[in-house]
Amino acid sequence: MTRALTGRSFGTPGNQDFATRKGSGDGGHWPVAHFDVRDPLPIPAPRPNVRRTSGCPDRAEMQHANPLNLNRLTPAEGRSCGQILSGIPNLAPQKEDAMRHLAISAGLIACAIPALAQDKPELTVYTYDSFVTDWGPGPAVKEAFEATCDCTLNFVAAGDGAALLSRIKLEGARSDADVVLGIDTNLIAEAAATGLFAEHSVSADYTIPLGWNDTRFVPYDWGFFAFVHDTDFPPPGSFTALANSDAKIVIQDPRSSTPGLGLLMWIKAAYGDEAAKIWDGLADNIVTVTPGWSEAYGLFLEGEADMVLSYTTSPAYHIIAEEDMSKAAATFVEGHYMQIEVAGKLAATDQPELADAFLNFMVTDGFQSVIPTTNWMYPAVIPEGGLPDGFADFEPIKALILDPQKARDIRDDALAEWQDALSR
Amino acid sequence: MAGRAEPVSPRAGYGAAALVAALILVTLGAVVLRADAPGALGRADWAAIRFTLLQAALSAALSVLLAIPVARALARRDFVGRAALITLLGAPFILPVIVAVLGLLSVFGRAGWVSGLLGVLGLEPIHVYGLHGVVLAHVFFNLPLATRLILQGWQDIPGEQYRLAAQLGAGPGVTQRLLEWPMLRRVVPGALAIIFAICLTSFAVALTLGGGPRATTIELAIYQAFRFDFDLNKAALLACVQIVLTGAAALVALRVEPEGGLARAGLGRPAQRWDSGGLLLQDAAVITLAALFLILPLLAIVMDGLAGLWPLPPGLFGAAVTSVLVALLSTGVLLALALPISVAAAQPGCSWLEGAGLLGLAVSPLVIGTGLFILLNPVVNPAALAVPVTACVNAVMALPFALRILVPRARQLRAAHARLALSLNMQGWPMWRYVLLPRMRPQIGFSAGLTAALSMGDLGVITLFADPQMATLPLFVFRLMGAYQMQSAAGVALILLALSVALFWFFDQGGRRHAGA
Amino acid sequence: MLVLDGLRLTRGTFALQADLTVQTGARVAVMGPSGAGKSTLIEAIAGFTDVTDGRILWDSHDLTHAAPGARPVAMLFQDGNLFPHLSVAQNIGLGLRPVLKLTGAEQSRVAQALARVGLDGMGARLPAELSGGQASRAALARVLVQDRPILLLDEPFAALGPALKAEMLDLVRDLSLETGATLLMITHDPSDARRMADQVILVAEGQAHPPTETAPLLDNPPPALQAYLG
Repeated sequence: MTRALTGRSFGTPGNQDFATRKGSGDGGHWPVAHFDVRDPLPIPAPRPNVRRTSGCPDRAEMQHANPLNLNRLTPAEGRSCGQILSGIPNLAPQKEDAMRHLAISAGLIACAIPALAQDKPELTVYTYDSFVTDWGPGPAVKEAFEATCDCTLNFVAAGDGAALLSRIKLEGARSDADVVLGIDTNLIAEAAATGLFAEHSVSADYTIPLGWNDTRFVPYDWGFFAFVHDTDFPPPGSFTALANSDAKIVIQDPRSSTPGLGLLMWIKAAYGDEAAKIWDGLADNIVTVTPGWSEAYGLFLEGEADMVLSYTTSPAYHIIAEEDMSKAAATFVEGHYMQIEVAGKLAATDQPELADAFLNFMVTDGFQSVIPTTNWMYPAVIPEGGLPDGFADFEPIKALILDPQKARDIRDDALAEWQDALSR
Repeated sequence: MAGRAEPVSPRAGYGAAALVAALILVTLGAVVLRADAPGALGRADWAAIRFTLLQAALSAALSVLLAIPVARALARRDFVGRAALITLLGAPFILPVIVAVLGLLSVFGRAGWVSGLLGVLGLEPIHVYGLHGVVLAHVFFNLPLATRLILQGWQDIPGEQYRLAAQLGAGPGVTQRLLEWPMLRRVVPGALAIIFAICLTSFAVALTLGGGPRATTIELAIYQAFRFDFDLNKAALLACVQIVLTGAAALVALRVEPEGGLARAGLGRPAQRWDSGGLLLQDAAVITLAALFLILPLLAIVMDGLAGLWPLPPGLFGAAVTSVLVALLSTGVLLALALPISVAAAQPGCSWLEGAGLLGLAVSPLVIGTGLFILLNPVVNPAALAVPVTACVNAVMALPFALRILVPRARQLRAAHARLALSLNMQGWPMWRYVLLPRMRPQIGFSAGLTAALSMGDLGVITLFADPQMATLPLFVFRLMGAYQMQSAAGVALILLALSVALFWFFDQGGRRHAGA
Repeated sequence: MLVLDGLRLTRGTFALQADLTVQTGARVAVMGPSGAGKSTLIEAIAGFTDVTDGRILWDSHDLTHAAPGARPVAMLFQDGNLFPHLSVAQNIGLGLRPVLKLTGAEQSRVAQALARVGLDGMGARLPAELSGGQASRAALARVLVQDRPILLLDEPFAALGPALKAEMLDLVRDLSLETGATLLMITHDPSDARRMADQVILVAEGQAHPPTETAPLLDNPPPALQAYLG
C-alpha cells in the first residue's frame, strides 16, 4: 500500500531562551512576544566589501574577510592548503569568478599531492528532505561551504522536521551527525531537552523580528504562517472574520505537520484561553485537514479551498519562479505566528571545529543569499543584495511567537482542544 | 488424499514464513526495547481504533457490494477490450495515495468535474470530505481487487452447471439461488476480509478526505506517537492492535477460502449462459458506470500529468532507475518468499501458513522501518541499505496478495500432479524445475507484476533510509510537491503510473506467454 | 512376492483390513463395491496412504514406510498420468530419471518404449495433441521404462471406449508378461478381470480377501460379490 507519510519539511517544535517580550497581558493570554513590524525586514547596513580588482589577496585581508577561524578549521595535516583554498572564495565576491577559479586551480595544483594522500575531513549534516533536493538550498550551500573549508559536506535527508528530531533521538550519542539543521521553534524545547546539543559561539546581526539569543541553536531562516489565497478572492482580515465568513480553508494536522502545529500555536498565542472558541468558529470553514503541507497546498491549487495554511512567502514563489501574480497571503489583525528554523551542533560530534565553522558559515552571505529563492523563507541575516522582489509584499502587523518552553508545555492541551472542537 | 510424503518439503515454506514473521516481530520488538516511556492507549487512541474499524468495515462492505454486479456483468459478457479493461482497473491499486487522491478530487472534489456539472444544472457542489469521502476513496482503490476476486468465483462455476440450470428452465432468479449464492457465500467473506485488512492501515486517505481529527486512524496515531510524542511503546502497542485486527480478518478470510483466489482472475472467457437474455442493458450499464468511476480519476491524473511533463525535473531519471531497481529486487525477494510458502500452504493442514504471510498487511511501514533502523543503525549506515531494505519491506507487504494468487494454483497442481511426481521420485528441485515453475508461470507472472507495481508506488520505509542522492519516484513526487513544484509532481506521477503499469504488464504477459497447456 | 501382513488402513470412520499374499508375476484384479476401499488398498501399496497398522513386504523388504518413489512400484492413475506441459518423450524420460537430462542410451530406451506401445515418432508431441488411447499408451510407455516389478492400475482406461479399453488391457497384459511384473488392477468389469487377471482380490465390508482364481470366483460369486455384480 502506498502511504504518504511525510509532511512539508519545515521543522517542528523545540526549546531555548528566546528574547521574548510579555504579551499585552490581558487575562488569559499566554506570554507572547509581540513585535511591531512597519518595515518587516530591516535591511542591515552593508558590510565592508572586501572586493579586489587584481593581484593576490594578502594574508591579513583573507583573515579579515573570512568569518571562520581558519586555524581551527582543518586538521593538522594539510592545514596550509586548507587555508589557501578556504580563504579565497569568501575573499573574492562573486564578480571575480575568473580570479577565484584561477586561485583555486593554483591552490589545487599546489596541494594536489598532500590532498590526495589524505582524506578530507567530513562534516555530516542531518536535515529535512526538501533542503537537499536539487531545487532546495542544499546543493548551493554544499558548494559554497566546501569552497571555504577543504572538507566534504554531507547532507543526510531524514524526512521532515519532526522525523529529523526523532531520528536524532533514535540514534542518541551514537549519531553520525555533526550538525542538525531544520529544527524549528516549536521543537527547540524538545531538542534541547535531549541534552544532545552543544552550545555555540555564533553571533550575527539577525534580522529576525524578535531577535535571537539562544545558546544552543543558530537560526538560519524564518517565516510567518499565513493563509494563502487567490488574488481574486477577498480574504477575511482576522480569525474571527474568517470564522464568520463562508471562506473554505485547508489546514494541516498538527500531529503530523509543522504548519499544522504552527496554526495551533498561532491561535493559542493570539487568543489564549479563547482558542477553543476560535476553533469552534473555524470548524465549518475547514474543508479538510491533511497530513502534511504538500497535500494541503495541492488541494488548494486544485481549487478545493479558498485559502490554505502556508507561509507569507508562498506568493513570492509563484511570483519569482512562475511569474504568477495570482496568489497572495492574507494579513490577519491578530498578528502572524513565526516559524524560525535553526541548526545545532551535536555534543558528540567528532568534528567540533568543522561544525562550528559550518554554523558560522550559515549566517554569512554564502548561505543566507541562497535561502529566499530555494527554501522560500526569509533569511535570518539579510544578505548584501537584499531580498528578491516579491518578498517585501506582505507586511504583518504583529509578529507572534510563544516561548519555546511554553509552547511545549501547552502543546498537549492545545491539541486536545483542537481535537474536541473539530470532532464535534 | 491422506498422503504423507510430498514432492516438495514444506520446510522451505516454514522457513520463509518464519523469516517474514521474524522480520515483523523482531522489528516490533526492537521498537519496544528502545522505548523508555510506558505507553498506554488514551481516549483519543480508542477513538482512532473505533474510527479505523468503522471506515475499514464500511469500505470493505461497499467495495464488495459494488463489485458483485460488476463481476457478474463481466462474467456474463464478452466484448472487445474486456481484458484490457480488467487490467486497467488494477491501476488505482498501484498509485501513490496522494496522486490518486488528487485524481479523485479532480472528479469528485469541490471544484471537480461532477461539481462543475452540478453547477451547470444550478445545483450545489458535492461535499466529498468526511467518512463518505474516505469510503469513496477506499472503494476507488479496492473495487478492482474485489471485482477480480469475485469474478474468479463466477468463472469457477463450471459451464455444465449453467447447462443444467438451463435444462431445468431456470431463469436468472433461480440460477442465482442455485449457483451464484453458494459461490458468493464462499468468495465474499475472503474478499471482505482482505479489503478490510488493507483499509485498516489507511493513513493519508483517511485524514485528507476525512475532513478532520474525527477521521484519525490507527496508522496516524502511530505516526503521532513516533514523531510527535516519541512514545515508542505506544507506537508498538498500536502496531500490535493493528496486527491483532488484521490477524482476525485474516482468520476469517482463511476459514472461508475463495477457492480460485486471484489465480487467473479475469483471464478466463465468460461461460456460455442461457439465463441472461434480457440483462444485456443492465450489464452494459453496470460495466460502464464502474469503468467511468475508476477511469475518470485516472484520466484526470493523465491530463494533469501531461501538462507537467515538460520540462523534466533534474534527478527524474535517477529516481526512475532507483524505483525500477527497487521494484525488481522486491519482486525477486517476493518470489523467494511466496513460492515456498504457497507450495507449503497448499499441503493439507498447512493453510495457516498463508496467515503468516497476511501479517504483511498488518504492519505499519513506520513501525517496521523504525525497527529496522534501530537494529541496523549501530552496525551499518542505513543509507547504504536503502535499496535492499526497501525492497524487502515492499516484498513483505506484497506477500499477502501474491499468496492469494499462488496458493490456489499450488493446490490445484498438488491435486493434479503430486502422486505422479512422487511415484516418479521427483522431489525438490526437479519438481520445481519441471513441474511447479512452468505450471505456475501465469500466476508467478501475475503476482510478480502486482508486486513490482505495488513496490513502484510505495513510499513505505524509504523515507527513513533514503539519502539525498537516492529517491524513489513516489518520494521524488513528494519532494517536488514539498518544493511547490506541483506541476512537475503531476508529470512525474504520470511517469510513475506509466512505469508501474508497464512493469505489471511486462510480468503479467511474460507469465501468460508460453504458458503450458 | 507381495505380502500385506496384518495391514490396517483407516480414514475417519472407514477401516480396511488386509492380510494376504500376491505371488510374483501374478496378474490380479481388485474388485468390490464402490467405496469399499479398492483405491485405498492400491494407494497404500503405492505409498500414498498412511498405514495404521501392519506391514507391506516385497520379497521380505519392508515397504511400509518407504517413500512412493523408493518403492518397486509403478502406477497408472485414473487421470493425470502425464504432465500436460511436457512432451511425450519428456514424460516418458521422467520414468528413467526425475530430471530431464537424459544420456543417449536413455533416449534410445525412451524411443524403444514409444515404439513398443505404437507411438513411434510421436515423442515431440504434447499430451493435449494425443487422442485418449494414445495418451494411455504414452503413460504405459513410461511405466515400461520405469521397469518396476509391481504395476498398479487404478482404472486408468475407464474413460476409453470398450474396444480401445480391451486393446489397452491386452497391451498391459503383454507388457507384464514381457517384464514379469506383478500386476494389481482395479476394475468394475468382470469381463476385464476374465480377460487378463489370473486372480481376483475381493474388497468388501472392510476386508480385502486373499486372491482367488478368477474364473471360479466369478462363476460362483460369494454373496458380497454377488450383490455387487447384480
